[in-house]
Amino acid sequence: MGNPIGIIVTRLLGAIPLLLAVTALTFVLIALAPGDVAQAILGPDATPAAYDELREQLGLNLPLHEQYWGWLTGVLHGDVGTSLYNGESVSHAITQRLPVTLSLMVGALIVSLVVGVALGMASAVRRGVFGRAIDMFALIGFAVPSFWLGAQLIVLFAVQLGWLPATGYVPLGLDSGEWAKSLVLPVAALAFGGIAALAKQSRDAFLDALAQPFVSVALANGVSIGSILFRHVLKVASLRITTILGLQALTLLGGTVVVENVFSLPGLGTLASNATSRGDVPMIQGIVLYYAFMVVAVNLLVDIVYAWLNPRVRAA
Amino acid sequence: MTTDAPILPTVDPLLSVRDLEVNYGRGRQATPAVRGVSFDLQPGETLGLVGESGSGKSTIARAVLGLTPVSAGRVSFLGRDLTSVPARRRGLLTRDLQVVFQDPYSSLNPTRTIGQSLAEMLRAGGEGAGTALSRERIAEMLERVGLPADAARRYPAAFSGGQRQRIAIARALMTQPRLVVCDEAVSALDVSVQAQVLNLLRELQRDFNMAYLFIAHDLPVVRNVSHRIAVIHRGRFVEQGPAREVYERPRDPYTQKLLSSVPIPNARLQRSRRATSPAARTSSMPEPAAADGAASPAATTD
Amino acid sequence: MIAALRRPAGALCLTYILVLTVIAVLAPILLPDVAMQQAGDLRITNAPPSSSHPLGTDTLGRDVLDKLLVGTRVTLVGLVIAVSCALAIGVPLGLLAGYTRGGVDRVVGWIADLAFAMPTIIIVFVVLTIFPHNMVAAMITLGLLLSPTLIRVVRSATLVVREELYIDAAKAAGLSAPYILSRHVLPRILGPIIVQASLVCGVALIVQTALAFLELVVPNPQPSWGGMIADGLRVLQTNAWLVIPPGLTVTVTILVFGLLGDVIRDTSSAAWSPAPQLMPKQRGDLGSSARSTEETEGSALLSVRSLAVTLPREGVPVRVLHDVSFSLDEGEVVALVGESGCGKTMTARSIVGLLPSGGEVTHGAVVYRGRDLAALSRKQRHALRGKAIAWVSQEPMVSLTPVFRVGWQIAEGVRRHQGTSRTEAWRRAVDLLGEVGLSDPEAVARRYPHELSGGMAQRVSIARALAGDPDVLIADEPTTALDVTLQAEILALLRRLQEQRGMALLLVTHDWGVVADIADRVVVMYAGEVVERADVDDIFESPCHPYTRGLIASDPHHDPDAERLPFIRGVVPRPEDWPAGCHFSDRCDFSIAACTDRTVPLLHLTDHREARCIRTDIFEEAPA
Repeated sequence: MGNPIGIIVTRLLGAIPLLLAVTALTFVLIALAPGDVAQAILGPDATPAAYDELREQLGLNLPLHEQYWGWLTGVLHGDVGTSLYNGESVSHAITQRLPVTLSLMVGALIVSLVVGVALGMASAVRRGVFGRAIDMFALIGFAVPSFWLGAQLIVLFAVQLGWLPATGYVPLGLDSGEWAKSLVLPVAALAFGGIAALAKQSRDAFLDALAQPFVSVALANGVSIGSILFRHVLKVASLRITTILGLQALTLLGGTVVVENVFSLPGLGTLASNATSRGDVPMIQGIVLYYAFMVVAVNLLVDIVYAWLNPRVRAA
Repeated sequence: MTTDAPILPTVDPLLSVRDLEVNYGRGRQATPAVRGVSFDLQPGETLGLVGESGSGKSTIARAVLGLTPVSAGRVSFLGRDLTSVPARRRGLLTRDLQVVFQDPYSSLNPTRTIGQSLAEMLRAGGEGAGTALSRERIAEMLERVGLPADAARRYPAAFSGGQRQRIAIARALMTQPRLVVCDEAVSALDVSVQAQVLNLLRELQRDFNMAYLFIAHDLPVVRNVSHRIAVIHRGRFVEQGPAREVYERPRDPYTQKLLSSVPIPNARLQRSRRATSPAARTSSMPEPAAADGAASPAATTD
Repeated sequence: MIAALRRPAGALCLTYILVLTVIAVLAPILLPDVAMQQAGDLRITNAPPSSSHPLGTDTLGRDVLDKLLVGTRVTLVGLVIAVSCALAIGVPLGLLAGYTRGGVDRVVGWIADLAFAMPTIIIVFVVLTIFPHNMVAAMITLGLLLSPTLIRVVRSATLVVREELYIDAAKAAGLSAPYILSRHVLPRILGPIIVQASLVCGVALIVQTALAFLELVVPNPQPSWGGMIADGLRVLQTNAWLVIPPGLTVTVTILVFGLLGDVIRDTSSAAWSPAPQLMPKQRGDLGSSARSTEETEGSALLSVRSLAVTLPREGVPVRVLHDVSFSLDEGEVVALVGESGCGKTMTARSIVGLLPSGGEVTHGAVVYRGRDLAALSRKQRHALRGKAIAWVSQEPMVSLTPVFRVGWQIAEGVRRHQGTSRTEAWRRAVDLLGEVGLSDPEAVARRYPHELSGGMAQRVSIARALAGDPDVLIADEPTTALDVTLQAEILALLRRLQEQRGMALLLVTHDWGVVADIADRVVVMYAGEVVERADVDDIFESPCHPYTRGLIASDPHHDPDAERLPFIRGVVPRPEDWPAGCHFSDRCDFSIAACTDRTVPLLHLTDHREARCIRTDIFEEAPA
């Protein structure tokens, strides 16, 4: 597997057990629950006959593995089920809301990457007070909950200054300017923690790389300082930063759930929390599947970039 | 392989290794680290094992200590086959078999006092630790290796490399073993300290009549402490015999190369050797890639 | 933990957590009505802070402070559940995986990877879909999903510790695995575990408040920190104050856990090695104050004159070099010899101006072709590196950047120093690889450092140092990491290159054999000072300084049959412990009162011979 395609194929094959495990786990959990979906739909006053009929209709009387198999074959045919709440197709509901979550996550990821890594590198080279400031900033970024920060941003930029909309989302296709404006505050709320984490961790990566003997040997042999920092050290540190970035992307993905709720963005996160409070089992199953897919995609990207950067993996 | 032994052994050997094979990895990826090595060690004797990195010399030590699985062959200690006894059930045998490792900084647990490190050897040997008797024994042993008795209360961080190596020796001697494996025990030390530790090892051997399996890459050091020397190259013994003979009249070409590579610490002598030795002269020419291990970028096993 | 308590920040954090725990236990008992309070005093809704309501009231007139205090319990209970779950699973599995390795490790690793790749918050949502408002279930799930981070931390820490030789020694001594794990491994990895646990605390707190914020775990009207933020958010347009108290409480609490983790990590990490400073500070006054010593070789290519250097030890500058002087002529090989800690590498690093972080030249000068290097600007000085003075280091494998082909790294030096085109530089790099005796230079140039053996890597490092066609090559223990047969080859190579190029070579070494093999002249260092300078033949045949004598004599090479090797008593003192006067006086058999009276200068004996000893007369009769 000396090439990127080999890595992609191996990784994708490795992802299958993960997807199966996550979805199967969801099924087992649901089976363990007191009461079932049929009861949830009909309410406590339903007749046993109506209850049994609905159970049969939903396939709940089948053994668990057959239910799972049925769901799985449905998924492979593009049918992820329908919402118990409003009968909407799960896949339709999700694909409609996916762009919102993706814009939010990718936006926050890019901001954290650019700002965080720049801060990390600057503080690694400058050290001293700057370094301690980054440490402090990282702690604060970790500590401030994004939903609370979001609230403060709304107060400042929407309520008091009136520069940006407080809540809501404008699709990109409708008005790209308004789309961007509607995303500024959510992205900022989400990216704050990401910037702090990346600044700290990339600073550590740069410091580690700077401490390695090849830096002092290159210096002693007169390699230009620009080349040492921006070629040698940056490339060595980028290996670790890639891994960190992958983890950060997953953290941001989780963060979207809360931030979407704060800013009332119609994304997967609001869909998920609504489905949860409504007990909408098919919807939450579908959402689990999509999130698992996104996790797989992020890890795959990280592996490809890592292999591209690291000659050891490339040659292996 | 044992034909070099000058006198037929009159006593049963303390340690007897026969056709030892050790592989690293499993199945098709298995790489041999030690191939068909045999030797005997008599009570109170020192056998020096010399070789370069990756030669398998440390693997032999680990096999004798039960720290690495043996693929084939036999390791008998005090007449019992160690390969069939897992390390944790070796019980009383471990009292008689101890080890001193190379790195004085990692061979002592930094979170335990010297006293605790020494006392647990008694525990392993099935004796009571923490008793007045054991405390006395610890103080005695520390004094014997040239450290103050109050060292028992201190942590390893308070000691220099040479002192830590003395502590490691004291630890090994707590159970009064019959055999001590010294795996590069002086290699990390500076020359002046190394001489102190070598002298100590020799004194202790005289006092306690222990045998040493002394593993090192430095030929003059091995020559100094050993009665017999075995030279190991790529997992095999290429030569084995009395120390003086191997050192002064090496028969195997590899041993000869090894010996001639060690520069003499005297400028005039070294210059004249360089002028006469073919090995030294040819090595200044561009070498074929194979001679430099180009064929084996894989990690060394030693 | 104990060390962390001694720091103000650590003590403060632990106090805060203690206070919070007390509140969690007592507040619901002392304020029994608050938990189920639907509404407070409806006449004073949305009141700002006042004496009767220190944090104001909410939209239904309930006291904000009371709610905050009572809400502490549910928050902390959630946190404790999640963290205990994560610890109970993570620590044993991590220990087991790291210590046994093999099959167990693979299975645990696979499960951890699986759990790690799960979308955490969504799985928690699934659980809450099935068990509505069941915080215990949600937090147990969270704990399970966070345990992989602990498994990984514990496993990798265990892997490091199990490679320590004292573990092997304990195993060889027949100690049982449970004993070794509990007495040797666990105490060593407690630091990382606590650090990770405090991180998990922070994450669990964030998730707990987020779930409460989404009103998924704590049913109304029971107060919780997250729920209070949600309440505040609903009236944000009219009352911006309400989100502040719960938000700050959450932030401060997470901050405390994060800070505690940092403090514990700082206090439990034993050896933090500082990175070399890229641009070391140089004192401006050293050129002028340089005392011109007995140095008569004004024509020397490179001379070090009365150099003194300090390094910071626990914040205090400690002198590590004192009055170091020697010179190097064109095409000459000088060996700088001494034991570890004597300052030989520090001297070499001072020559190229690359002291470790915080290191400072406090006196003396380094003069290259008549130019005082300290008087040059940083840029001018850097321009000399590689072109005038090049460097080969001790560890060949790590002295090359791992992510670039070795040919590229050599070519980079060629381009920089000779300003050639890329293709020309590559061609030159291949030539250099041939010159250092590599048989297929084209192929080697295209390799990455990890594809080289140790001996090849050292040849490549030498080729790279030659890229600027330097006048002086400084080789810092170039053969120490190599086997003796490779050492002979590298020494032969250095000798050949030095002769062919007429290059001067400064070789730093502790090995008298290497000195004998290659040096023309020898500079012996002890405890930060030059103690003897001599031609190579003389140093072996009649060493003048007692230290040199002792050091050479203790080499087992001289008398292989010796029952007792000559040695020097004691150990090399640390710079803080240098004795007054002669630094060697406390280990010297010939020391007299005058030795410790005052600083001993380097005394001129005969041609090319100097020793820092006032008692050299006693050796004049007896050759070594």
